[in-house]
Amino acid sequence: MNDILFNIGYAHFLVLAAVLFLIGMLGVLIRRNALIILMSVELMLNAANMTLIAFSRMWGKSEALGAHTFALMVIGVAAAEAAVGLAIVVAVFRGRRNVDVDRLTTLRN
Amino acid sequence: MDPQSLKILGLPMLAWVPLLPLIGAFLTLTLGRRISKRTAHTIACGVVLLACALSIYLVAVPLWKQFKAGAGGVGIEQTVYTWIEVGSFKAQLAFRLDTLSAVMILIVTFVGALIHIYSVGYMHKESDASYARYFGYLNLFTGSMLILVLAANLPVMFIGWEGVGLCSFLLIGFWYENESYAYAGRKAFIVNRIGDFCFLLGMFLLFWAVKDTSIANTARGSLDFANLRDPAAGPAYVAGFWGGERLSAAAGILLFIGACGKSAQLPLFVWLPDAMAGPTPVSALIHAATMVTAGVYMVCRMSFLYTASTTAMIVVATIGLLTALAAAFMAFAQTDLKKVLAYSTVSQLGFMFVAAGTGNWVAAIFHLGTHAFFKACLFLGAGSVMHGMEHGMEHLREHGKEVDATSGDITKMGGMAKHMPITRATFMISCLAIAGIFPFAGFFSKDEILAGAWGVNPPGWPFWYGEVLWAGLLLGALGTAFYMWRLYFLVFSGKERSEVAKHAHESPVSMTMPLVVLAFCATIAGFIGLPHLTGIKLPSIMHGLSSWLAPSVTPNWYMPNAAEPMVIAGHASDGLTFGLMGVALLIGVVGIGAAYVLYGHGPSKTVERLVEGPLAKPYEASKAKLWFDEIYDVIIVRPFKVVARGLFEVVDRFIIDTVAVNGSAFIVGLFGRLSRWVQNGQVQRYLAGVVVGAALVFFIADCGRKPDFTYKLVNNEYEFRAEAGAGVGGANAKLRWDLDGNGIDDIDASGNPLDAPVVKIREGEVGTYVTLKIEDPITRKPVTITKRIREEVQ
Repeated sequence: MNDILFNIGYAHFLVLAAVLFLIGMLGVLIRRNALIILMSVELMLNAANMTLIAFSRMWGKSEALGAHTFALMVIGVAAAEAAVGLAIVVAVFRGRRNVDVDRLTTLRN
Repeated sequence: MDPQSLKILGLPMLAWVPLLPLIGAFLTLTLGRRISKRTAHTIACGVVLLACALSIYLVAVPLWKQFKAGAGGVGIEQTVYTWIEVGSFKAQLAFRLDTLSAVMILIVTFVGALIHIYSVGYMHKESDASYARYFGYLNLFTGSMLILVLAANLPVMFIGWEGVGLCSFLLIGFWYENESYAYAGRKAFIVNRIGDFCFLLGMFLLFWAVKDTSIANTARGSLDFANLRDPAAGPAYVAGFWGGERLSAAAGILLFIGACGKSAQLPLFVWLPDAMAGPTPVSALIHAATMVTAGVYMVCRMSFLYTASTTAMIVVATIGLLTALAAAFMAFAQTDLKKVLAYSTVSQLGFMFVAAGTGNWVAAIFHLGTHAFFKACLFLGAGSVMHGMEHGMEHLREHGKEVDATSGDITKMGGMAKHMPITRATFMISCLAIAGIFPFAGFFSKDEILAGAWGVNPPGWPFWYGEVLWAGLLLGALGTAFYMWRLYFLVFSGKERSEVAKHAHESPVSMTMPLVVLAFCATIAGFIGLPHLTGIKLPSIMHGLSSWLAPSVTPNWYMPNAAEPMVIAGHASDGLTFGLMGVALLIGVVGIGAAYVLYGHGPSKTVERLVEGPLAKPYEASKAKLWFDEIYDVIIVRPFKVVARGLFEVVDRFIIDTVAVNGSAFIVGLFGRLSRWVQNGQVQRYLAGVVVGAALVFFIADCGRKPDFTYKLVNNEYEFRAEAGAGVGGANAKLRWDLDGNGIDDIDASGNPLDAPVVKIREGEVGTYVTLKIEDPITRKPVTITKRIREEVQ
């Protein structure tokens, strides 16, 4: 028992990443608030980043930093995406006074 | 003259004979109510008369030349095109006019033309549309019948065979508004199907038998008559088939069952009496003169097959005799004019089959021809009488009097002689002919059959069987003379037994003219088939029919090993010939005399006394037609209906309706509801689909990849290859091998644990079991795989 709790290995990182990814995925699938959906997407991206780093440590040589670079890249893109997404959400909120995705049906059909 | 050069408008001349009536049928049936009655019957009668003229030309000029050149059996063969060619089977649309089919086309077109003309008068009360429909069907029938008789091979004959069956069905049910008439049509059709099925089986059997002989795959096609009668096909017919019996017995009997259906023989005759529901000219043409004789024609056409099996022949002769007797018996108590004639037809067809069954082909065709004349005349005469009766009925209705008879009830007739003199005269001639009175046609043809049966003794028959057939036929002839003259006396003699009969009158000339012509033929037609005599020299035309038909039929029993051919018909001495004739004539006179005594002035008191007293049981049996319909109803129709009902409930209602139709609709609906839930326009729902799909893909991809190892023997070395599946962390897994099977992880040369994914070991050193341990790098869970590599080391 102690072994699992205190002897931290790759498995812990991967499980944490999986849990984060699931939370994010459920958020995207279930929540109706566009703001929260955006936040959930961020969560999934970061879970992915975490697996990248974990596998890199597991299989790569210790000085190889490809996965780290890739993770930084993802963080950068995610920031940009968040900026655009939030801008859209704010714009929508200004026009309609709500950001419930179920009710944003103007473009349907 | 080359037969192939006989063409009209590019089509072989023989094809035109059936084509002309078919064109007429097409015109009258498609134009229908748009043309007047006059146009309709002009077209219909015109094409048949043209076909008749063409037939006469074909027989008189090109066929006569062939006949004179000694090639009457080859005749004229013309092919229109190849119809079916599958594997080793080939059928051509080909026609064949030899001396046998010549007789048939002359009868069909000549009698057919007369009956077309007669119908003009008989059917004039029909509406325009059904008038045209009637003539269309009649033409269609004539065309089909001509295809049947002109066919050069069995498949084409089968087209005609089915065609006439269809027309028979259509015409019996011509007044289909009447439920029972429509039922009679269906009955005829269904009973015929049973026969046709066996006909087909016989055809298949013949094809199977000859497909490997030298006659197969010639230019003519597989089932061409000219091929089938080729001596090279003979061995196939006598080959053992079932229980050592010859193949020709099976094929012959199967084909004969087909003939039983078409020609109304026991046990398939039940449809013919009901077929009298059709218009009377139809009864005359189809159900007396032509179609029902198709079976006889077919047996004669296949004479080469039947002569190869005396078993088949005895079956044909026996069925013929039984039918002749049974039908004659059933005719005694009938009270419907046409029903009597129908049973008479069945009986006469039995005579023809006895002739065919005794190898007396010429007599069969001879009687077929004379019967066509006198029976057509009788039917048309009956039609004329009924027409007159209907006139009487109309007369009574007009004067507001009660109608006290139906048109066909002979118990209500009598005394028609003075109302319809022409009909009476022709009817009398035909009755004399069918009773076998000299010198009318029936005398000679019936006598030929009787004389042929006497003394016939093929190998395999009891030696007395010919005499039994003769005696049976004689009894049948006695019955024929009696019931026909009973009919005659009841209709024409004595006093009228109803008001209707008193007001009957003679039919128009379009109806009496054919009667006169047919009666004339029934008088003289016998003189072409006189018996051969040694003492008296007759002109050759007097027995022209037998020399005319001889090339087309087989005169000998097929005896493959006999030194000399065994001739079927032996020559009787003049004394015997005249003696048999005398007996037959005497029998005819006795029958007529008995009828006169009992019915000469209407039904006598004696009849009543006999019917109520000593003859009550037979009379009832005759009236009930020996209960054939009832027996069939119990043993065939009802069980069949029960089975059909069960199949309907189980197969149709449950399997097809419930499971197949509603079930598939339910499944489609189910998927519809499902996809409606999915396809709701929300991105999130689609995304859920993507997630589920991706999860499925990963799951399935992972399923096939369990940790494992494989091995193979290369140059006395085992090579082991670890296949660490994705489930255990793939390439980074920690491996431990135990190759020698001692239970301890092996080490390599330098003392390190053996952990390479591919390891080798010499053949001799490998253990019985090899174990691979894989430790998952993430969960650190070990997986152990052990395989038995070889048998215990000795």
